[in-house]
Amino acid sequence: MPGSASTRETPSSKKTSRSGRGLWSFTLPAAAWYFIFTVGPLVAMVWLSLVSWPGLLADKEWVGFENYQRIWGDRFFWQAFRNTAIQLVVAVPIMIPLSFMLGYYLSMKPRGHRLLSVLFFTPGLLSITAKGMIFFGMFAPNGAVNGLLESTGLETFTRSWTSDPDTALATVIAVDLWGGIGWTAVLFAARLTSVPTDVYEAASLDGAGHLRRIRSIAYPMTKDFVGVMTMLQFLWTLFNSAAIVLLLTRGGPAGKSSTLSYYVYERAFSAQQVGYSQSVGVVLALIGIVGLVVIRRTIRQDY
Amino acid sequence: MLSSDVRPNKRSGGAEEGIIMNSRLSTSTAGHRRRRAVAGLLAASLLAVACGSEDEASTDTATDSAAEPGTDATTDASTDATADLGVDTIEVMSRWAAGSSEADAFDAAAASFTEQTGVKIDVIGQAEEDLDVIYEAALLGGTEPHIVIVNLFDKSIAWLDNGATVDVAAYADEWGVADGIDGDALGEWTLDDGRVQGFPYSGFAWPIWYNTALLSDAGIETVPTTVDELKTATAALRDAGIGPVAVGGSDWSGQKLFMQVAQSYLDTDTTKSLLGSGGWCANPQALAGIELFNELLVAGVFVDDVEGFTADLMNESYYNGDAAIMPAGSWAFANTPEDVLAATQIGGFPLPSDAAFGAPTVYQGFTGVGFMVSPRGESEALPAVEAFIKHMYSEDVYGSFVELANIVPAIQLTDTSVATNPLLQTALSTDYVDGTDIALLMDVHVPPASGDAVNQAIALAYNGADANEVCGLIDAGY
Repeated sequence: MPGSASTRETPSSKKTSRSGRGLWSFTLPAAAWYFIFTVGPLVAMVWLSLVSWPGLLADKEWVGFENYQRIWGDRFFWQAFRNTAIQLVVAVPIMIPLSFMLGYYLSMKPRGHRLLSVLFFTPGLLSITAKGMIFFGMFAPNGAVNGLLESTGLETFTRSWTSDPDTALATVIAVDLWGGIGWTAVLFAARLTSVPTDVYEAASLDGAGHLRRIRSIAYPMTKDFVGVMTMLQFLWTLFNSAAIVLLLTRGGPAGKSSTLSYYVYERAFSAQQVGYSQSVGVVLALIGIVGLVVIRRTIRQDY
Repeated sequence: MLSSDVRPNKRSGGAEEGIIMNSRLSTSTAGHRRRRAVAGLLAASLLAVACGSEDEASTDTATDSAAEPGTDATTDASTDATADLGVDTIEVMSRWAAGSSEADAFDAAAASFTEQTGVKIDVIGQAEEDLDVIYEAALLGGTEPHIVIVNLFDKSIAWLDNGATVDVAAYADEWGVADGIDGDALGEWTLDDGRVQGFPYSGFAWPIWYNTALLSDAGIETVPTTVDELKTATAALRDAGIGPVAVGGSDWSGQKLFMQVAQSYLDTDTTKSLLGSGGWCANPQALAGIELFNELLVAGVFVDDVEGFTADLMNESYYNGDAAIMPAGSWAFANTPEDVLAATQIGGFPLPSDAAFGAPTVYQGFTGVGFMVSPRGESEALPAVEAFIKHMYSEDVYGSFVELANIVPAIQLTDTSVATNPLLQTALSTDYVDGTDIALLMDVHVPPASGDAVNQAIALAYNGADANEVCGLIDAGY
């Protein structure tokens, strides 16, 4: 029969419809911004990877997948790939556990924890340029690192840290760690303070020390957040290393400290191969997506 | 800090095919005679500078003394300033770093231009390393400056072909500037088809600096001119606790010195070909040059940790007396401490016994700094640009640059004075010209796409990599 309850619009469905429209009206500007300034550049990156573009002022020429074919035989790409893998495998596994333990310590609110929090967070407030210049000076042949080694009788260990093929990449990783551990620790501390203290008390009554409490209480209860921070550090290390490499080593010597992120910049702005640089950028983005998925699947809350 | 106006090669750059042919870089006898003639002209011009420039920077009176035939470039723009120049402000992007002597001289020149014409000079960007990228980005946004003061190097070499700057050949003639510019200087900025990329403003001399006091302390009384003498001096210097040759092994200064040594056994045409398209490993003389570099490195000719040195550290070491020898250009003349200046003798880099050159080598040229006009400058502000260019080439302004910033002039000045800087005087003297040969500067010959790879290979050379590995890496960049 017409007007049955199953087809007639009810007051609750009207309310849902109105709230849906309201939700869209609030979401639309942000969604538009996202599509224009995030999705748009990604689409542009893929399109540019299919052209040959020898410089920002030159004409573009469609070449299809030629840029991707070139990657396979590009020794400098694979060198950057290896360096990026080393950087991720070293920096992230060192940074996350160390910063977690430091964050746990801060969450225990020891004496001076506020000052410590400020000190730990400060490196994250420095601009990339400032960080780069500080460490460029420290690692120089006449810099602080060599000066410290000489003053402690370890002259044999002095070297040109950023120009030595054996240590150039290590200096980049060292700056990553210096800038990331304390800052990440403060974020972990903020999350860990929400862990109920009576759980720790109960564990300590049972004889659990700090390491056991970290392993059996703090980490399991904040595993999701650890997963998020691991994912973020992975992405930051993967995509943001170009600036530090540019300032410290310029990828040298002979590409020994070049990373994929820096290689994208170098190919676009130094070598003026914008199309090819975008193909490297697409590969880098795919690596980021795969890594992101793996980390999220590996480190997730056990409920 | 180094003054950097004539530092042409921060990175190895490259030229599109058939761009600038630098006839001054020939090592032929004809090239020697030409260099002597130009050196004579330039020396005469320097005599004009020191006496006459002090009180004339902001007055119109200097123009009266410049009215000689063939010196159209020196007409003072102020006499034409009554015409409506069409804009209130000329926007300029400059590679002269703030605080450098060139920037100071430019600021004074800009102030006098504003005083004479009422047109302000707005320096919207000052950058050394990234000026080309910044300019291109501005151009793409339609906000490029009217004039860009730039090295002719790397990306700027292709700007005229890409439409980023305009051909100034006709303007140079119409404005009466061309006649006053040194022919070799204009030639370096002129393409094969006659288009002119910009108005050359300063050249550079790039000798090897020898601290004779330190050499004497080590028992070396004459500047080495052969590789054997250099090795002997090295041993003596190290025994005396003095560093031999300081150079920025990790940056542009070391790259240029490497190439200077690597071409020791090559003629100019072969060097040009190798720089432009590679093939170093396949050329025995090229390989021998790289091996010579390695031999010098192993012999301790370069200071310890040279692979980590920068140009700034090189200068610091030389000025502090920690190193006795360094390769540095005329941009550094102005900032040299007085005591070091007094002890310094400039010359060429020592040669092996069977070198292709007849005398120790130096770099020299006119691609240092020039004024390029942007499309926006041409369309919006051409009368003002004309007045400004004429003003910059006026004798009083140009003289102040030579005096304050020790630039190697690219024009012929008629006013005579005594040059103030002894090193600049030496660089333009007949003895220096006769006693050195000009090596080919890599900047305008290495293609941009290969530049970074070449630089990376050179960095490895400073780390002691053998010649085959280095030449393989260089060739891999082409």
